[in-house]
Amino acid sequence: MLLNVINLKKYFPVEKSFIEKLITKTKSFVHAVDDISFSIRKKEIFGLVGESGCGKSTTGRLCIGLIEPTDGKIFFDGCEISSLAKRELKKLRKKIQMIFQDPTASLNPKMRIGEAISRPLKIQGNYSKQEIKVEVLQALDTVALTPPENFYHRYPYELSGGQRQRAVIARSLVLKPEFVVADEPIAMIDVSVRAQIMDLIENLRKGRQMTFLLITHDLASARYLCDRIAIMYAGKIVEIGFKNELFTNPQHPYTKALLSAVPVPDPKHKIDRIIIGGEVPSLINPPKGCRFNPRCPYAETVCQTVEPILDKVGDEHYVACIPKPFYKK
Amino acid sequence: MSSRNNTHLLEVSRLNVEYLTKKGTVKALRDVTFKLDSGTALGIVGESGCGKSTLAFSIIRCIQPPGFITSGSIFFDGVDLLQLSENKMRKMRGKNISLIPQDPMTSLNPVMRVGEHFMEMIGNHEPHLDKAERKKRALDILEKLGIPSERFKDYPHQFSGGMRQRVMIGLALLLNPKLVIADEPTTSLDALVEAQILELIQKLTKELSLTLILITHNIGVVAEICNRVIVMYAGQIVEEANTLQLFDKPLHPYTEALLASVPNPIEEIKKLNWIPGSPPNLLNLPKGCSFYLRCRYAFDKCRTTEPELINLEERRVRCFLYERGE
Repeated sequence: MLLNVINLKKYFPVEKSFIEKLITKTKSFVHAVDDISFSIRKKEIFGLVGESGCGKSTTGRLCIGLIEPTDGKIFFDGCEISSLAKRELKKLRKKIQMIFQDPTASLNPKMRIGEAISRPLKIQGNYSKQEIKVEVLQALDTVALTPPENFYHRYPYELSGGQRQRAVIARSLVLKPEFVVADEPIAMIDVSVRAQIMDLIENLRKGRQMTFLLITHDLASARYLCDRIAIMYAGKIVEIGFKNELFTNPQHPYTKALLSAVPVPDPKHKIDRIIIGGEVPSLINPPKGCRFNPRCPYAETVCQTVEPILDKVGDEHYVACIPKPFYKK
Repeated sequence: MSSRNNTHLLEVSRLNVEYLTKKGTVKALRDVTFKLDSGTALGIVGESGCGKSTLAFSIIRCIQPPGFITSGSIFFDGVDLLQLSENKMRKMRGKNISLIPQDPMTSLNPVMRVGEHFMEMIGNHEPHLDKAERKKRALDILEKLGIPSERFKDYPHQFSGGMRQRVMIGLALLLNPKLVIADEPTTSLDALVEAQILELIQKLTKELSLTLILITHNIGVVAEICNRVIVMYAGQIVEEANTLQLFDKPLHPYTEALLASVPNPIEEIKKLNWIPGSPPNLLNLPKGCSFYLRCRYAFDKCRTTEPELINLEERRVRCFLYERGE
């Protein structure tokens, strides 16, 4: 296992106004990530899928040490990320990189592409100017921004959305990391070039033995790209499994509903849709017991009080649901 | 001008829209021509910048400067909307043609109670109704949408994204319009809520026998809701067909590539295709077919001559591959 996440929690304190502070003494927290565990193998593309606000991006940020966990541990290659001092963390960042969601917002508009991509090398030090240029051109070439010399001197505004995303990926590759957290890498780009970005990630995994944590809300692309997928709901992982097992034999009512909610690009396909009412609960006061119980069509009384834990239902297939309405022995 | 041998609810012909920017003229729509029968659910698909939202706003004549409708006609129920006075057009909007906008967060007035939006709209179009009647109509539609009546007095910020989109759908359907244009109605929503809203739109279009124009980049949504599809590229219609035909056998190379680039969640896919390059700059369109630089079938003629929309049986396509009726 390359990455091990154990009982990870992240609570964000809720900011209160001065008057609210005087009236109430209790502090409240947003339970963004609440006790999740998973591990990622070397060379694996692991998908973290859920709706907005379920804690998937927070998990990604925790995994690369951008924010500190409230509780729990993250081990990368045997080394615990959360206990590292800043200097050690900086060293680790050579191995761990991140691709952010919005390629336009994550490139400095006044910095040429070549300059932006060379920043990680300069920050990590010990490279001559010549070496930096070679590395940057090579990174541009890897993401198919060719000819690289051409893109080196361009500004972000001169690039299309897909090209910008590839530039951002090039920046995350320039240090030759082992592990990359990709936070919605295809959400902001056009349909016709999404597959290009996905193929690029797949080729990096094969060619450079890289490992990816892919954060996405798009189940169809997760199925295309990932090996294993974890489904998150309201700060918890509700189901983990190999993608085909998860898509053909979903066990959690939320997974099942989520899968049936995705519009299928085939007009002949008859949809047997499970319509789930309501919306994602507040994470300040999450529901007791199973967090999905107020919306779950299969909820039983036990679901309102007992918090489910991940149970093994098949080969590396785990589900956090007490009634397990779809489970066949 | 106003009378015409008319069997179509909407007839857009040779519509051209331009945005006059500092850098030059952006040709957002080029000779867009299509007809829409009543009862049809028409999907308009394309990538960002292909002109699909511009088309929606043109039909309700809400193109703001620097955008201008430079030529063409839009016949709705036998009346050319482009010839109407602004006053008459105002009476059309909401009453006969309505729009469900893309972003429900910014489309409601934040300092007006949700109910007031409904009351104001009925008041503007049917001033003879008294307050009690207006309220009754508003509550009727809220009930259809699954919004509890006690939320009538709430402000938009007290509503979640999905509920706000319900409110927008309610406002669009309030006056029983003949044509509803939905501009990416579920793009900003989460998967489960998207499913709720799609289900609702489908149910209501059936119940109220509405004619729908659905603008989206999501191929799956089109497959599910629409029975006819127009594919747009760089401000032009490149293909129009029945949904089943289009998915079964896409004719235009762009449609073919677009459909092949979308992953299907219900089957395992080994390989997806993607379209190299990016759409042309609308400020400076290339000669010939606007897709030829990205097209795998392009030949010499595509570089020099712009293809016309070719009528085939029940469908249209803008591509030289189908000349001579093949």
